[in-house]
Amino acid sequence: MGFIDNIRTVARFELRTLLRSWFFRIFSVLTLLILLGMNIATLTESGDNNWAIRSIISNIPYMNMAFLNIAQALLAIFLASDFLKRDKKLDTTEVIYTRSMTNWEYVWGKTLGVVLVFGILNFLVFLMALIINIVISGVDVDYLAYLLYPFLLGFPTLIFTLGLAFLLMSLIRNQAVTLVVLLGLAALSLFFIQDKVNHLFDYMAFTFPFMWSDLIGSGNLQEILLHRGIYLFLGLAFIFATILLLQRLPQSRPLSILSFVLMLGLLVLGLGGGFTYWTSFNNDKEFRQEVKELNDMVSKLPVVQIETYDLKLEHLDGSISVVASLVSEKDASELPETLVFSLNPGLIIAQCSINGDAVDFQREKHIVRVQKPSGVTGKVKIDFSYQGVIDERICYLDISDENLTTKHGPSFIVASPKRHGIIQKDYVLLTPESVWYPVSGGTFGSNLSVMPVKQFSSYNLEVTTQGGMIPISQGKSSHDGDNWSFDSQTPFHGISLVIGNYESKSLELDSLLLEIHYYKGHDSFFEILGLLADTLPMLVNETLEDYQRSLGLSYPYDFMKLVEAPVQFYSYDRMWAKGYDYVQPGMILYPENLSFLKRGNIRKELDRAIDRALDRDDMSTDEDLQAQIFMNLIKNNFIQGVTNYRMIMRGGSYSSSESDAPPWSIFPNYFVYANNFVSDEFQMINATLESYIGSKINVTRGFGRSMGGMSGEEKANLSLVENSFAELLNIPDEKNILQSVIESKGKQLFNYLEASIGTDEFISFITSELEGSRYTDVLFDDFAQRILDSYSIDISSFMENWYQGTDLPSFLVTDVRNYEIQEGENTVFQIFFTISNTGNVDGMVNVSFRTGGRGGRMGGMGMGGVRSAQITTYSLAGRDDATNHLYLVPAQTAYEYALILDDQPRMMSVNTLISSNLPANLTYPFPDIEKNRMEGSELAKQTELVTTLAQPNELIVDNEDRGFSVHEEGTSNKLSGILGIDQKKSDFKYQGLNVWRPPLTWSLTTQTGFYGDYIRSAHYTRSGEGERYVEWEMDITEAGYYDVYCYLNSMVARMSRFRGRGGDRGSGRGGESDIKDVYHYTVFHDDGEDEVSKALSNIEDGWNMLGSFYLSPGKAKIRLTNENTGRLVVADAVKWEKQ
Amino acid sequence: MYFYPTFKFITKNLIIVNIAIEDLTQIYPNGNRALKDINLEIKDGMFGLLGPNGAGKSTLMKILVTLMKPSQGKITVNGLDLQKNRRKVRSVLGYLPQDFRFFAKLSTWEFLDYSARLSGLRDSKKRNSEVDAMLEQVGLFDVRDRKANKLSGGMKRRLGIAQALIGDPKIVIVDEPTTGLDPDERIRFRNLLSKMTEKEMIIILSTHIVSDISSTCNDMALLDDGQLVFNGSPDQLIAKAKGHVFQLSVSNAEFDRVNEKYNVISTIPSVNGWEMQIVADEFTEMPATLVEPNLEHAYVYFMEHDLKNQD
Repeated sequence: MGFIDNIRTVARFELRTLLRSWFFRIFSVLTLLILLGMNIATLTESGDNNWAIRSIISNIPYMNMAFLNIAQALLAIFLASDFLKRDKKLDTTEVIYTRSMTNWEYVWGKTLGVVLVFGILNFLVFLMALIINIVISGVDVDYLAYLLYPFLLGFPTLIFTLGLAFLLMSLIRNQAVTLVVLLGLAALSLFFIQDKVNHLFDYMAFTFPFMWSDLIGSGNLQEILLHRGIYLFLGLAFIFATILLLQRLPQSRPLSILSFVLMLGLLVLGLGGGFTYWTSFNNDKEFRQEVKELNDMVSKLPVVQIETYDLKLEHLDGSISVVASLVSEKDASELPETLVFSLNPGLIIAQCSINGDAVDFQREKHIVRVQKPSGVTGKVKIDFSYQGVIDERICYLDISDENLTTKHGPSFIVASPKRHGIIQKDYVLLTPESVWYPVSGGTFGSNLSVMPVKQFSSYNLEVTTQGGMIPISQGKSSHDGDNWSFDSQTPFHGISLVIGNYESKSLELDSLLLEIHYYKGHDSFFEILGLLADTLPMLVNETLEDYQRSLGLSYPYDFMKLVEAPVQFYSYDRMWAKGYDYVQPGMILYPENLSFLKRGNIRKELDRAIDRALDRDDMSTDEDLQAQIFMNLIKNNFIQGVTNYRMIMRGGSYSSSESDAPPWSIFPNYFVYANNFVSDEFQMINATLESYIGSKINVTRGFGRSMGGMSGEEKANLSLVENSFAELLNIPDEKNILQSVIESKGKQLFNYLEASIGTDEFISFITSELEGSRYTDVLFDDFAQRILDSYSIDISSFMENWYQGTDLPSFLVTDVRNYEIQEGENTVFQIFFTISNTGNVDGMVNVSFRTGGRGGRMGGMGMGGVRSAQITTYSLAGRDDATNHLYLVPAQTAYEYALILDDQPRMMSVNTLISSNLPANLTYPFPDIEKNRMEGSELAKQTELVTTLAQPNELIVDNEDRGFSVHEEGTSNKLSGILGIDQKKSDFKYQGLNVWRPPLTWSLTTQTGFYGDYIRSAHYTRSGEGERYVEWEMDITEAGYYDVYCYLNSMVARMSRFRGRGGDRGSGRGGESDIKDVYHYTVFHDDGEDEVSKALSNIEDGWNMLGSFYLSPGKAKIRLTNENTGRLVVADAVKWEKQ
Repeated sequence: MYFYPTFKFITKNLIIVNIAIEDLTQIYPNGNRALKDINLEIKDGMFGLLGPNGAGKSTLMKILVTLMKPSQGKITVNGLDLQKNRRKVRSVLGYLPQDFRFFAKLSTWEFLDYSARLSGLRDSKKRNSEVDAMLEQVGLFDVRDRKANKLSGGMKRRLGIAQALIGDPKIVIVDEPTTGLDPDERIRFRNLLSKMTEKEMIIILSTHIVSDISSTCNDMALLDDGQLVFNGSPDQLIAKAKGHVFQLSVSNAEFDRVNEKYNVISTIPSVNGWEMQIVADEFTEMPATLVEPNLEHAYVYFMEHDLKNQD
């Protein structure tokens, strides 16, 4: 009893003392306030991110705990080191130390006191969260999560922090040093170590995935227990060590010995756990490497084409038992002696037989080698029976180890584990990625040339489930009790299987059956969109038809299944494919409770729509509004027909998001799941074709790109100058830009064909090629032959350079003019421009126009024009001839084009696609228009090649020319440099224009408004007092008076004026008076030097005169400093023009 | 060797308490020898430990209250080795350290309650009444809710003694309790201690202020430079100084000479010069009257003459 009493007594007084500490009180109140704000913001607002948090109800306590965990870990550092400091005032403590109690009782009493204090804080936080959860969040309460998170997430962190703080205080015996060490450790863990070694050193578990699914629970409970156990045990060990190190004579030898034994035991447990964690992380890495090497090896072996799969699967407790029968397409005589298959290494093969006779097989990791017995004739039937679970380490072998641990979650504070194949007692989710049935050949190797074999096979699946669970797979399902079978009319690359306690609804559409499978309680959208019951088929049909029209292809299956998947189910973005594994043939694995989906919070969306309608006196019926909400959900996530330009703030700079297809888009069904173009010569040909089909046209990029640094296309172009496509595919370091390269290459090849053949003709040709070759492999050589046969176009030399070459076309656009022309009653508009391709290879440009509307003066339109959403179509749907033109400009050739538009053009944009131009997209605003008479009609005539924009009498020095120099001594921020937190070094020479935090050095960036023949770049830096400057120097050979000019563009200055979400700003007219930028040039001339100031509010875009000066032969020089009242200074080009 | 009855247990009901210190030596890690071969027996009642600053009193106190382990030697309490029986000894111990401050966040009552709980008073009803009684006894009942660190110096010291006395300890060790107190508080404090001697317990009072001891202790020890130089009753110490304390009248001219040559206890200015009290083995230089020594005289005489004579 005395033992407990003493602990209680010490704890009670520690608790009382801490509760009265102002530090604790202020810190707690601040924590509570911040969390209150966070909760209210997250749980009431309807943003997509917030919905992603709130839709998984356990996230509410999770989010609170994750934040509180950091707060209390920091607070514990202060409190723990403080209490030992108090103890150091020996005389005060001596009266306590001379009392009869053991050191064990004393230290544990103190610890308990601190833990209780935090218990109170936790209680308050959770009470607050619970109230908000119940009262205003509008979602259910996961009471269990409220209990679990504090113990799994908070408690181990707290014990570890306390233990470490006590221990360090006992060892170092200096509060300041202890504080610095502990805070340093916390900062290191939070900002630097984070998810390194799979979160091992993240003792606060801030990046550790803890999300809890209604479908499968944690999904990584073992890992959680191990990770948290490590820190709990270490913390406890440290506390026992503190007992032993306490500066008080012990009074119980047995307890001292016990403390020592426990400390040792717990230390061994903690460190052992850490070691296990570490080795399993390394083993996994090694395992993946070995698997890849194995795949490299087997990739050279011949593969067996499988015609039919018969899969009989039984779901047992936490495992599956499968009998798979594979029938070869070819006869035994044509098959190799050794048949090579892959099967998930977690699935253990009990038996393998060929045509009914058991045969030997060798298993090495996932690879199964089966010897073909002699004397087998006809088609070969290979049976495997196997049982086990999924080893997820063989999934996504193509993804780098660093990417594997990147966070998956809706906000920086909550994270979900990433699962790729799940087999639990109550749930199964298997996609081809987990290789849950035997497939021919290997999977991914160490480079992109080693990929899983893609073949079309017919599948028959029979599934036996337990306890009334429902299986879902491709094809029509039927069942007899727990025995289910799936039957599909079409072959697939692979099939998927989901088993769970699903409820479902189905909808008969014109040509297909739409099924939705969801978990109980996750179906509130049916209720919210209740009025749509009758019109739903029509709505879906129309949307699908619109989409297919814009895509130019038809849906290949007679079913579409929407299946709710646990939040942990994760798919990576593949560089060679547009789709994610969330979408399987005829199946979309949508995220749990619509979390992560844009506009997934249907209830809130509807409320807002109603409010909006009321505000506007809109006469929409409830049904109209529900339809609108439903369509928004569908179009934003599954069937993307509308591209919205969205301006997204990213790291202080704008970037445009062209809204790539969302991860749940049904797009892959139309091509990659139905077609397969193959070529031994040109790897990735299928991916390039997919890029072309999936690429949208009529997208006029404006300022969106111009502020966001280089577009993917431009990065691809820069890479393609250095290396050919073939080379890039095999350089592992280039993987991060390969996606852009593949996309660019796809557009280049098929745009070339389109431009050569003619848009309409090419589209009808390729559409029939695609539709006609569904579920079969098409050899690219045959495809090229058909082009040659049909259009007499030999693409072989183009392909040679396309794949192996590094030559790029270079374009100069000159002589751009626009006229308004009165033709009787009608007004039309004529535009002239000349495009020269000075490169050594043919190139394409896509010229598009923004027309009509009063978008404001284009020159100063700011973001105004960018907001307008445009209906876009995919390449195969054809182009809108009025505003979109694709031109083929052969090497070393120039063409003058004339076009007639019905609507007044506001801006012309020339996308040079694959070229050496930077920016790749050049824009020409038409602020004014001249009246004129029609000069001929539309034309394209060859004209004289223009090789430079400079005029003969001009002496120009651009910022990348030799005469340009940068001077910036001692201006870098050393601390930032050491910590690597300032300017992130870009992989590329040119960085995005960061107007919010301009760099402290002169940095290169590109804009269409900058000077340059092919590369329109400029240097820019943060404004200052003139401590940094640049100089342009030119050798003058002829004495005389020169007009001196600088090249300026007010757009940059104007952009730096925008605050907040720039998209809401209208035209820049009103903005101009804001501009306070004044640049300070110094012109050096014969009579000395003159400073010339240029106020940007009063300039022309382009050349601006600095004055006329007399210059003798020799060096002429102009200097520009960074002295400016605006945010940044741009240094572009200067010129001397002899009078 | 001391002889003492052996008790197997020390409990709160224990009546006779006996502390025996044998060959106690304390050498600090830096080589400082704070105590050397101390042999001492302390019995029931108030025991005074006197000595100049740095004599080793505090070190001895710390060893006695189990805050420090001696380098050599042994202390037994009722025959039980202190180092091996810390739990038992601590359970009958009350300690007031020299420079005692309080946890800032606790009130007077709470702090005493904390001490009471730690001293083993588990029953809350009984504890409450004892805490209140103790606060009454030390005159702090009226400020029971005041934060302990807001008390005056004297009050703090009284709270200090209260926390040492709460829970009916058998051994109370008080280190330099009256330093820094004003005379009123000092007297009050001494009276409080004297009252305690009515109970059967050992009170060890360590001090460098002689008058603290004279009024209350029936037994005492004198420490000098880590060594025990005297152990006996105050009367025995006074007896040693008998015939060695002189009172004389000196002129201004003589004052300096006397002051330099002898240990002067007190000087009072008079009409013709000074009235001085000195201690000396003998004094024949000028007319002087013998004075009956008090403990202060005895202490000075002992330290300055007796001790040196022994050397």
